[in-house]
Amino acid sequence: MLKYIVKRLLTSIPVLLIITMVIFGVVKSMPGDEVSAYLGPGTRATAVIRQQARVKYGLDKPLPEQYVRWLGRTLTGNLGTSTTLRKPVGEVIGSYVWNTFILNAAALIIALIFAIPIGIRQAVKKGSFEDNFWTVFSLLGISVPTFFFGLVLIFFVGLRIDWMPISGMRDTMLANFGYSSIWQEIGDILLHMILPTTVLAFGTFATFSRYVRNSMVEVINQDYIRTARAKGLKEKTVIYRHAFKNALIPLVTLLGMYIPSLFSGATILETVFVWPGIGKVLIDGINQRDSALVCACLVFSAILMILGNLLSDVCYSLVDPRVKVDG
Amino acid sequence: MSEEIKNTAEPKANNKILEVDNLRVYFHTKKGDSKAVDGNHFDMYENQTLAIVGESGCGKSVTAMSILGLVSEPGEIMPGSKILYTGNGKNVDLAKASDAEIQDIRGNEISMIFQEPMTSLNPVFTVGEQIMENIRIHEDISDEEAKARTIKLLGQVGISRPDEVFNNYPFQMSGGMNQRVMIAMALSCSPKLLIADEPTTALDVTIQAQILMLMNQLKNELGTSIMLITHDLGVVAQVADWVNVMYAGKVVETADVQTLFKNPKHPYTIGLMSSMPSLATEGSRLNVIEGTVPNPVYLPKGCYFADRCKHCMQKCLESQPPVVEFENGHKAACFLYEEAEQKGE
Repeated sequence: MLKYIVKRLLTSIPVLLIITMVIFGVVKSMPGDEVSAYLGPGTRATAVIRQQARVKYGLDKPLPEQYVRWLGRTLTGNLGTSTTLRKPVGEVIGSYVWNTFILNAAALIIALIFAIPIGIRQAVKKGSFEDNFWTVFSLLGISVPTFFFGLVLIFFVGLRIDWMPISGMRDTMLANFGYSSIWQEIGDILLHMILPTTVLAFGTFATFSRYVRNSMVEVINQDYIRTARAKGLKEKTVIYRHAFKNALIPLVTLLGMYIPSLFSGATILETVFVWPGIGKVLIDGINQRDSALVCACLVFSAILMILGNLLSDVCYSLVDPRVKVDG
Repeated sequence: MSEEIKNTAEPKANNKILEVDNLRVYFHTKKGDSKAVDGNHFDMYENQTLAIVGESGCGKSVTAMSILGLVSEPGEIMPGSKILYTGNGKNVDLAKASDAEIQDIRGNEISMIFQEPMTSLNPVFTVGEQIMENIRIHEDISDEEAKARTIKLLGQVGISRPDEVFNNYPFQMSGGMNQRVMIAMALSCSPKLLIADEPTTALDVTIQAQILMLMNQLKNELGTSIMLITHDLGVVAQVADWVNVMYAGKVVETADVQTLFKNPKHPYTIGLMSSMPSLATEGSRLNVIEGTVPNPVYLPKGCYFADRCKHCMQKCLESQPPVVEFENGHKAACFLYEEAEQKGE
């Protein structure tokens, strides 16, 4: 197993290299002037100062040379400095990633808590009113864009009824003047999480409940489920032990792919709810031509994606005895 | 409703363990009720092998499924059906029993072997776990005892190195091995009745013979009754005591195995017999019964076999044939023998 993981990691190095080239090329070809970004917005700099800055940041060199320099710095752990936040990029990612994580993790857990039992019930009662209801519900979840559902929630729950905060992660007053206790801080963050988590969980629930349902429907019609019934097992045991363990196989693959996205952020959603996560940072970075930050975020996502694939393959072999991973 | 065949002969003076009476299983489809089993009667006795023979779709498997209550939507065991299980001092009508009652009997007193051993075992559990599970739900014994018994059972069904096979997954073994595992599982609680639904169809011929011998041997050792569902008359001749021939959801002929092979009465049975390939008739074309089984949704008014029968008469198309009894409980549902019976009386 360990040998397999090491081998997979080694083979992903060339893939990652190609990805960095594409990312660097794309970021550099974004419209706009990078020098202005370095000098700060609204700066009226003379041509001389601009030229000095260009030389200072190495922007006068040919693109391949810039790439090699950037790659060299990145590999040594120096991700450069964010021009917009005036902080080292590593530090930016390190702090914002956890904001993204708590939001996504909460949404994923909530989604799974509902999606698994509901998906199973749907499969057991296939074709019933209940099944059709949840099918329509989850199709809504898949097809309604997050920004739209987010805005609807902001409008009705946030503005019309004024039940809960609609943006940000903390109350401005409290955050500036200090929380009286850690519990107050946690409570404040939880309150701000409700709306964005609902939106995220809705979409994730929809995807997972479809998966659980379809995978269970397929399994329930298998011969070995009939065998399990013929043994005299209780229907619950048949469904939750014999059927679900088989239905879990495709689910684990999906879940493995999902884990890294917990860190990489939901760009649009974070923008809609002004949630200070990686996705929001990335969008702001793109808007302000913050190339160091954008490159780092994208490379970070790419690494997560590769790890996610590896994770799902490893998990796959854990739940399905027919799949053996070895060197 | 016409008369229906009922086998009443006791092959040996054994106790009756199963009494199936007027069993009707309909599948409610959009086009109407598909009468998969329509008025089935038979009894089973201890230590007897009853073969149910017929071509695909004649209701053999559905009959077996209904005994264990495994008929699922849109199928329904129709009201008025009776499946009385009287083994082990019990007296339970399986057609009406509650889930708990049936679950107690399944795998314990009546167990089943299915047609496809490769797909009938759960791929994510080891064969040992699957057999042990059957023992653990029906008997209050420790894991170690259950494991020891499982390994012993695996040995009994002719698996070498049973303690290694215990930890194998089904995909690591051949079809024949898996079928042995299924048999071991079915026998793990020493059932009174073993239902084998085409247990050898998916296996090659040498393995078939071994599996049949194994079932016969276990029947003799444990006194288990076997209901063997098959379309293979060769298999029937080898192992059965008594035979029910089914056609389009009904039993058309019933007899002990020797009588049936020597003296088949119903034109369908005669057709089946002559459709068997034989080395003695080398060079000639294989006999077939022309036509196909009627659609169980639109069954004719008269005899269901009429349109394929060489002896079809006008009355065959108009009403259901009477049941004619010959010696030793041999019966056939056919107009051909009606007059002979009347003369005899």
